[in-house]
Amino acid sequence: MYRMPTLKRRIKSWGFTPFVAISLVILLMPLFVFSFWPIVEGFILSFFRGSSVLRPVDEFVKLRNYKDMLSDRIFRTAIVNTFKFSLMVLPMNILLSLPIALGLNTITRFREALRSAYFLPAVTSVVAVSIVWIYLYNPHVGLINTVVEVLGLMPQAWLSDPKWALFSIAVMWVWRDLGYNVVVFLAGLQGIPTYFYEAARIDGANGFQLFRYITVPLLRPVMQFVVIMTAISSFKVFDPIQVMTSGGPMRATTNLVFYVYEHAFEYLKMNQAAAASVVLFGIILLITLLQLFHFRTQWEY
Amino acid sequence: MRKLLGLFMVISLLLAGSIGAYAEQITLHMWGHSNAFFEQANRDIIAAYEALNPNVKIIYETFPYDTFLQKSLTSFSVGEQPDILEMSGRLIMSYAKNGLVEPVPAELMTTEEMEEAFFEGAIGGYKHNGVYYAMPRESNFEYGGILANMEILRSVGVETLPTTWDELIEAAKKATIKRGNLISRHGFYLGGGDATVYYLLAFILQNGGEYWNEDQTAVNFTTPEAKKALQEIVNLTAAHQVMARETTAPTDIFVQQRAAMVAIGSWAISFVKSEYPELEIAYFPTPSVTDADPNYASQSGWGLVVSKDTPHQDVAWDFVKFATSTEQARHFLKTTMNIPPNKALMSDPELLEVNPYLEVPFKMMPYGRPLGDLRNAQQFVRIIMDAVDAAALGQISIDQALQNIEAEINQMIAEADGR
Repeated sequence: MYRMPTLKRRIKSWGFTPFVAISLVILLMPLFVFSFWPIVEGFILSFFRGSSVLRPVDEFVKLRNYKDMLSDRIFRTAIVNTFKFSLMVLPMNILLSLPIALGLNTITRFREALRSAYFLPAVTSVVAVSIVWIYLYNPHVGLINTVVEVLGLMPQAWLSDPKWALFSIAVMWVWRDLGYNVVVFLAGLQGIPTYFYEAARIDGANGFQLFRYITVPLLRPVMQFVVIMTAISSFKVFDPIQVMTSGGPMRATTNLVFYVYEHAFEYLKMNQAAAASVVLFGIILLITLLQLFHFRTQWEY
Repeated sequence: MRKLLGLFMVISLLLAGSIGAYAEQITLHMWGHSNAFFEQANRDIIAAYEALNPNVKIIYETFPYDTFLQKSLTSFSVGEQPDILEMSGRLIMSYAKNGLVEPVPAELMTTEEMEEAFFEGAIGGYKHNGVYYAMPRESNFEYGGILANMEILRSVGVETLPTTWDELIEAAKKATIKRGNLISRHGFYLGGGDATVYYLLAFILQNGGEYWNEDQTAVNFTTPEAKKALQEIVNLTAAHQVMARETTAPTDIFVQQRAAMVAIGSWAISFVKSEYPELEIAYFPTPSVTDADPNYASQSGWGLVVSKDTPHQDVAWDFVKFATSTEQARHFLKTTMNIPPNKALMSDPELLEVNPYLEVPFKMMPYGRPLGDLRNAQQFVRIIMDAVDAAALGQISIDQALQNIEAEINQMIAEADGR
């Protein structure tokens, strides 16, 4: 006689115990509700136009929101600024955090204290930090122009001049994000077995060769992680832009996230904001996949 | 038997009374923006209303201005909206169009009564399809007043306040200090989104122009009058060099003493007076940029609205009526140092005693008119500000800036009107 499989048996047939299954459901539920479902909702919203901000799915408009967005010069500026910002932040961050991590790896005294000091900005409120940097960048009483003048250079309106505004925020963001990458690089460096270095030194390798032929290749998985995370974080930056420049002057600091925020919560155009956020999602996904593919390693040490 | 019947009736009456008293207990929720002066005034008015109506309890909460919009929209979308909102005139029209708030009931005030009682500029932004959706608490006054630091002006030999535009520019030139390619002290600062927009529109009107078409379905910024108006604003940074455009708020620039004069709404006075009492300030009317009257367009100020689905509409409107009565309005305006929307309080001696600076808006208000239905006020301001910034920094020509403004605003209007 055929017996209907109970839920318990069915779960067991998948190789889970009921306890594991329940734990998984509990763990995946928030991820589904707060991450996956909003992504799906946002995607759906981007193909509709609403009669009001509270009824945003009244009319199916196919790709109209995307067409409107592409013809919007602010959107095009936002895309360019998003990439420009990332191209400023990524090399600055890697070129600063890796040498700092290498330096910390060679010392034993004060390493923990220095590591904490570098990490401190990463755990400080972005808004508070942004306000502090507004004062640093103040063209009249700010520390940065004081230093610039001491060096015999011309003081600048760092946040009010469209030539400097995005770069100024990028510098602030690198300062804030640096500690995180220092800690990750340091963990990666400490994970490289010392006998590789010892063997190379016996073979007569100098410091640069040790770095070039041992550290760099063995740090590749960590580098992959750092590059992806830094790129994603630079694409998603919002708080300092909102606090320090509100996307100005002349849209010089309007990036894609600010564009989404502005359309959703200032202009109340949820559908267009959803379309822009789908584009942002696509860009981040593409870059992540490209980097994963490019940095893929087939070996372990 | 008669005793039993009597006892039964007494118990029934007591029960009915207690149930009735319980049923009449009403709790209203009211939201406003975080502002110490507004909060103080509202708490006083709520306490006075609760004393008169012991069965009503009003729970008053405030939120920072920047998050107020998101907070209120979210609350409406999940059905958790408050009964009463104190809302910026900039937002009321969009809430009315989206059917989120109730029109002012005729029992409280008819359209004609509202227009008779309040200044046109104070309530113009509350009107949708001929019906008003809010009761005003104050008049918005972004154009029309200049805040001056008298110590700075005297230090550069300016003893009397400017009364013409040319005098203003001359005084500003004297007070400006340059540091390399930067201006370290603005002689006259006209910046920030709101001031830039209101001054541009006022200058167009003062030049005899008009930025709306006849039925307000499109804007027209490519006119000779608009060109003169924008040129005057660009001149401040280019020809006269009395200011540089900054991202810092005008109030901050003023209190940091980095400007001798700042174009700012009268709302800033209470903040400056209370937080920086050491500053010797003056507030004077903005001179017309031409020989014509100082005409200007203004947006409606803060008003009280009642949410669409509140179960206690009658009580909510009763509170709004109480809060906007002449007596309570006077208390509100004395506490917040704002400008009355009520014609009855124009030149009110009690208000002038508390805030003598009100003389400026009182002088200017006859020249004000409503801004018009901007459709999307935030975007309207942003479009103009971006173009003015670009023209002032020499990145685009005046003509190009005006073309950008006209094209982008008209596109926004067409989209909002479903065209």
